[in-house]
Amino acid sequence: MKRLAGMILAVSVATGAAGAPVDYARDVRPIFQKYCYECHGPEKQKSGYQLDVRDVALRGGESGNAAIVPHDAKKSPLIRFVSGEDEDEQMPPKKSNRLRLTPAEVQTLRVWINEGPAWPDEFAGAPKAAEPHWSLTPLVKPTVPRGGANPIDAFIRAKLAEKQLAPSPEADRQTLLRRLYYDLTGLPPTPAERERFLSDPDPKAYEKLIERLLASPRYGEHWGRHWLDVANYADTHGNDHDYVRSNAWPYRDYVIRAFNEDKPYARFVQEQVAGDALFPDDPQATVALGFIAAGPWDHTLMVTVREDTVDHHMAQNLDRDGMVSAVMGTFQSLTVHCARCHDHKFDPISQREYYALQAVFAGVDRANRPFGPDEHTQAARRQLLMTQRALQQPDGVLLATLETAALKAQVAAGEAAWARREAAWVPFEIMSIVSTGGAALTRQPDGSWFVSGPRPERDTYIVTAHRRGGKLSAVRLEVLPDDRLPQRGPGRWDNGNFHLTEFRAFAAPAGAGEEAKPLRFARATADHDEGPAISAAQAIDGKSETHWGVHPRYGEPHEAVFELQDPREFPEGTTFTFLLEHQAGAAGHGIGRFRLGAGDAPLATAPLAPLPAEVTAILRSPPSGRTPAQRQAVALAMLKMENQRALAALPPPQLVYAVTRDVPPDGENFKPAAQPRPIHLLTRGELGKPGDLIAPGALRCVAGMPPELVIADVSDESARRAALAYWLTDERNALSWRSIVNRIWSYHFGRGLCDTPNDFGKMGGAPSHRELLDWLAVWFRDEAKGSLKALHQLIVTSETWKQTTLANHGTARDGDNRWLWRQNRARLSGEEIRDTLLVLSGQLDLTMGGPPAVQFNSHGDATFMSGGNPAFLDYQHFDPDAPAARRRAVYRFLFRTVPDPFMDALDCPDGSLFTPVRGASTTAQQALAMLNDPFLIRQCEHLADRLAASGGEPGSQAESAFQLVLQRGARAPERAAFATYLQRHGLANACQWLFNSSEFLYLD
Amino acid sequence: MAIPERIHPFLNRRAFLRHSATALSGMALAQLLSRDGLLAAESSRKPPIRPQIDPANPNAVRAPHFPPRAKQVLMIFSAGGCSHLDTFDYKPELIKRHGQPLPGGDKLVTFQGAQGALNQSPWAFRPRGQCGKMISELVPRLGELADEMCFLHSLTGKTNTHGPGENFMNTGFTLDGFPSLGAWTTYALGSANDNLPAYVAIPDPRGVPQSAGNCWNPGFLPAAFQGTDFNATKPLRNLARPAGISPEKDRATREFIAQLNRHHSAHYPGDTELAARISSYELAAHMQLSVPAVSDISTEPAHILRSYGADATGNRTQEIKAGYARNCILARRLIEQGVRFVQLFNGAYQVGGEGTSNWDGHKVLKDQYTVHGEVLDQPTAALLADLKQRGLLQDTLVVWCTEFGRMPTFQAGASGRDHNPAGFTAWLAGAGVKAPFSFGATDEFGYKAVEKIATVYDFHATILQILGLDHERLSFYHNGIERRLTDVHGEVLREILA
Repeated sequence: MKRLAGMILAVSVATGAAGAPVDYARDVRPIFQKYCYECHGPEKQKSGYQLDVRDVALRGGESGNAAIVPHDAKKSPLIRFVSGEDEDEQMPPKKSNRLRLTPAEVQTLRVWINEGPAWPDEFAGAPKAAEPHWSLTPLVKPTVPRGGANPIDAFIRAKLAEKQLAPSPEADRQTLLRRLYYDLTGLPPTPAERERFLSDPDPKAYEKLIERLLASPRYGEHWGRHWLDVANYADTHGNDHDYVRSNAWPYRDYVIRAFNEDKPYARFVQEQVAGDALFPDDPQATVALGFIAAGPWDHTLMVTVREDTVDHHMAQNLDRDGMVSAVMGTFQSLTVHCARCHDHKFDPISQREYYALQAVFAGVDRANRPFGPDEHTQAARRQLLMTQRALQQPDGVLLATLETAALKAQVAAGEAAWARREAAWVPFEIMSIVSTGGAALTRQPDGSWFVSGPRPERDTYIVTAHRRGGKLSAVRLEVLPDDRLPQRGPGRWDNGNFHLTEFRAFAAPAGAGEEAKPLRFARATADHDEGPAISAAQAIDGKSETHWGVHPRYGEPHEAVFELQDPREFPEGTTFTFLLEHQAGAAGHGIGRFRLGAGDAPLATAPLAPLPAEVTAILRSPPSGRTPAQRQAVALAMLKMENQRALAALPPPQLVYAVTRDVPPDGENFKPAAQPRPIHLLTRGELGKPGDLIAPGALRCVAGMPPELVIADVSDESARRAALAYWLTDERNALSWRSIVNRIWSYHFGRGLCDTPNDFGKMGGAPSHRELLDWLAVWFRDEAKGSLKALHQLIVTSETWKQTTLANHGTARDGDNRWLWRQNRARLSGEEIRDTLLVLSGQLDLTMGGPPAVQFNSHGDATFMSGGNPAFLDYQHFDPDAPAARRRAVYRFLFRTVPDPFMDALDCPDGSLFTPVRGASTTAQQALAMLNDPFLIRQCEHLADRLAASGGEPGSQAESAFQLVLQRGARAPERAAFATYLQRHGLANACQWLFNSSEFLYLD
Repeated sequence: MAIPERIHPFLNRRAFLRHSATALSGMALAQLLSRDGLLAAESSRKPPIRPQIDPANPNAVRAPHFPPRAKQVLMIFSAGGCSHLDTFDYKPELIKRHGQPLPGGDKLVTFQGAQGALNQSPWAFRPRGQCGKMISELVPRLGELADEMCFLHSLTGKTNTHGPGENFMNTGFTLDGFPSLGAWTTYALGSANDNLPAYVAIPDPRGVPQSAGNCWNPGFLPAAFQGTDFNATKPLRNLARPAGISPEKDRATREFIAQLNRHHSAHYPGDTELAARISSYELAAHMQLSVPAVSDISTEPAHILRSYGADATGNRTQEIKAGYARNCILARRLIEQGVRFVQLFNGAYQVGGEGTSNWDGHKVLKDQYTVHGEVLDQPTAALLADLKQRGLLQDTLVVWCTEFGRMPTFQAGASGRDHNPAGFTAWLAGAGVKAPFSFGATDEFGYKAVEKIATVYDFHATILQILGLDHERLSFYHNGIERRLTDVHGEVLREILA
């Protein structure tokens, strides 16, 4: 560069002979100083650009483009900026209200550039040797200072000595016991557990207790809740309508289980980012993907708003932004989301890298994803689904195998089975069909009927039919696709669906005046149901408010079989009447094309999806006359049917709300991405300004880590996530290991060594004990092998953690207790308070897992479950004695936009934004809740009943109450006051004041 | 373990005391400088201002950044997307071309679908007030007050969906979870009344709006800045002791709690967190007296009740109107008591079908708006007039707004208007704004803002400006970003400032 500059100088001198050349020191530098240095000078280098250093000035900033093109002012971005050609790009920026260059000054710069530019060496300057930011340096294990058996204490004490502070003594055993219980399990010790510990003479009693608590399932529930804060978990989508997310909870249970099983951290990360790709046959690794999907999702923009609108595309962009933010904030403690509209203002993260991360998630959407239920089924289903995909898009290899003898035999057998099955069904001879809603029905060549004309809100098709005499055991209703129907049907509604509310049948013997008698059905089954509550069975349940539908499998044939309760002979001439009712459900949801068949034998298997009409037409022709293409079509159809049969025979999967590429389409707008969606860099984050197409990648700034992702097959979206998962859990990735040990530390001390657990960037906090953080990170990675339980153990056995909170000696020097000369006092969290109330009232139900405990009333009907409506939620009048009220708080139903006011007043997050750190506010609303909340008052009454039941005079009741609530004996004046009070105002009221005491609410 | 307040970076009492000396003197200096215009040269730097919050008294009065034009805010929010074309934005061309297609409208697809023809308002417009502003007969009494109003006719939003729109107007972001305008205001300024919440949200008698609590959410700001929601009929939650607990018991309980906590805090000399806890119980006790007192509008004279329409009866519409009127009276009483920010809601999340309980008139606009106009008009007009008559408009900024406007066309096959964020109206009145005044304009049909186009960011920036706050400096660090109400946008609409 220096040589180049010298050359430029030489050139400019040569050309300067013609007139007075522009002089850098005299003409140019003052302009830079006056207008530019403030943001691009010695102090600040916005966008990494500075005009006081020649190399940087010429080379350009973080954008990677040269700012000054020698001899070409026109092509030099610098001139474009300062001349203000484009208002959006002008420099100094429009918004800054700073003076702008005069046209003459711009001209000076133009001439200067066109003439060279000449920039003498003496003014070349030197870029500041930037010290890499602490979090982005490689991870090296520091030497442990002397002075402490536990390395944590050694580091902390060394720093204390340096700051001329002394550590505090250990808290008393009673305090320590309460602290340890809440810290590890979120619950208080029972009196028996307390007694056991306080009277245990074993010098290892404390260590034994830690092991016991870490082995308790309560540990996973408590620490899982911390993780759910970070993941931004809730049971609704949030946003506009805040629909219920019925299958979020398996992820919540996964997290609790992972903590309880002490899943190694690297594996925990890998499962949550790419468990489906890396551990495909482990059902729980699929459930783990709930992490990426845990945050809010905009149903309105993703489903309701048309796919071709800016709003919809922006919603997709923000949806991926949510995924990227969750993954990078949680596992890397980086705020990459700040680089969505421009390069990160503070950290070395470019917009290009941000979109490379979006590209990692470009193939997935958030949706319900099937898993398990067990490993064997998961593996079998995966194989069958792979086969299904292969059959849908057959390649040359597959087509070649169709010619093998084995497959030919399989196809022939399938064809024979099909023929047998079809022979069992004889079409009814239809005499007439009437639509009560005024639709037109026309007979099709294949014996089916097509519905057209008006699409009434409600409609019933009345079908009159005959058949040859004989036994009738079942009626088959085929619903068929047709190009004339929306989405090819088989329903008439815009999305291709129908809602068959009831299917009824009547038979009248031949002869005038004979009464038609209803035929009763024993069972109705279909090849495909929308779900257990929208299945063929709902079409014979006698209720018009329930129905059968086939969402989201449109454009394919389906069938339902109705088996008679009483199969019997019907003589020739019997008149059958069928009613296909569409009398409730959504409007305009009639069937669009159908056929009715009669069967006379018991059903051998559950119905299979009927073959496409093209294939059945071939099958009806003799095999010898078929063309190779026809043979191929039949073979593929048979294999698909066989594959489908095998899939249907598997135990039904469970669902988890996670990310997947196999999204069931919902309406016309929310559809899966067949291939990962193309990701463009968006200038200023605007869709109207797409830049380069960006390939998946990671970050350059993490020391020791290559920014490239090694992706086996870029067209396979899960390979992208798998590559990122490996990148995140690479031993060299310093951020991963620093991030997790800091996060765990923050929950043990109420504050991280770096106090912004999701932001290790320049805007975040600086670590108080950098060496300790690094030592912990390396130790956790190498020695603890990623065991969180080992990390907890190391921390809670340290003298640092065990210090008392009561000390005051360091307040003058370190009021914030940054150097940990005492332990921090913490307020109990909302969950801890609620759970403790239930423990002490004797009401706690320790059932683990399962669908969330709904702790509110939802007014009126089921509308709340099908489409969220916050106006209908009522927490205030929910029965505090209802079974759901008694579950641990981690299992409660979390409604994003309408949080439980009691928990809200106690700072429980509502799931709208990430919560790496919880607040612990003190408000009048909180005081009112602690005084008057119906749930709290009811638990006080239960506690009073317990105390009363154990008998005793008021003094001993006081003693028991103090023991239970405050974990200590009552002092004499307290005992007397409590006893007097309870005699006058009742025991329940007396208990309530204990719960309102700071001593209860804070953890010393 | 939850993070104790004392080590929360922004709610740290010790840090507060340590910094407040310098912070306050810095503030005083800033004011001096700004008076002399010296700060203007430095304004490009715009260092963030994060108010120092005393946890023992989070709503203590704090100085604004520069002398304010208004000290209190009453924000009236009409939920559902109130049509500017049937209220305050007069378009003669729409009457002239009634029944004709909107140029280019055949290809236009808005929120619910295709457009029908241009449609004039079912209500006539006529000149109102001294200024002769053309206002619709749907809101005749508000029309009477045209001289008090400063209209913004060129507002534009970012979304045409209700939830995000309501979030955007109330919090400056379309997503959930960001602090509301009221939360930012009380975070910056605290409140003059120690016995009432600094920020009250008054939901409509029919329920909460679609974005519900997001409209008065503190977001990432400390919980002390959350709007407290109650109205004239639905009391503040947990304010009253449950039935069966006598006032005597209640008093005795509190005394014991106070004793116990004082005793406990004696072990921690100088610990302000525990002191904050004790004071939170004191404020709760004050609120238990002052909130029922301020909510008890039965003490209002009959002529006041009548003038607001709080005595309306006869049918469902009149009952809703009476309920909203009582909320309007409550709003005035709160402003009178010095509450910093009052947010009054007109309309609720749809109950019983689209447009029935809010301004979302997609299909049967005339019938639905007849009800909504009746509910809004008289009580709101009486509220504005009452505030003025009592001299409260001297210090109070009144804001009326909605999430977006509506289309000049009727929807294809329906008799109502679809959502339209491309141009809509809000009005301001009282302290700090010019009145009568009209700013900006939509095109000849009222479809898009074309003159002095203003964003919701500009609208928020202007409100903060009127309160003496620099929207580019009032901030809070959250998750990597120095957050502002106006994100990275917003220009103060200086033209409307008094």
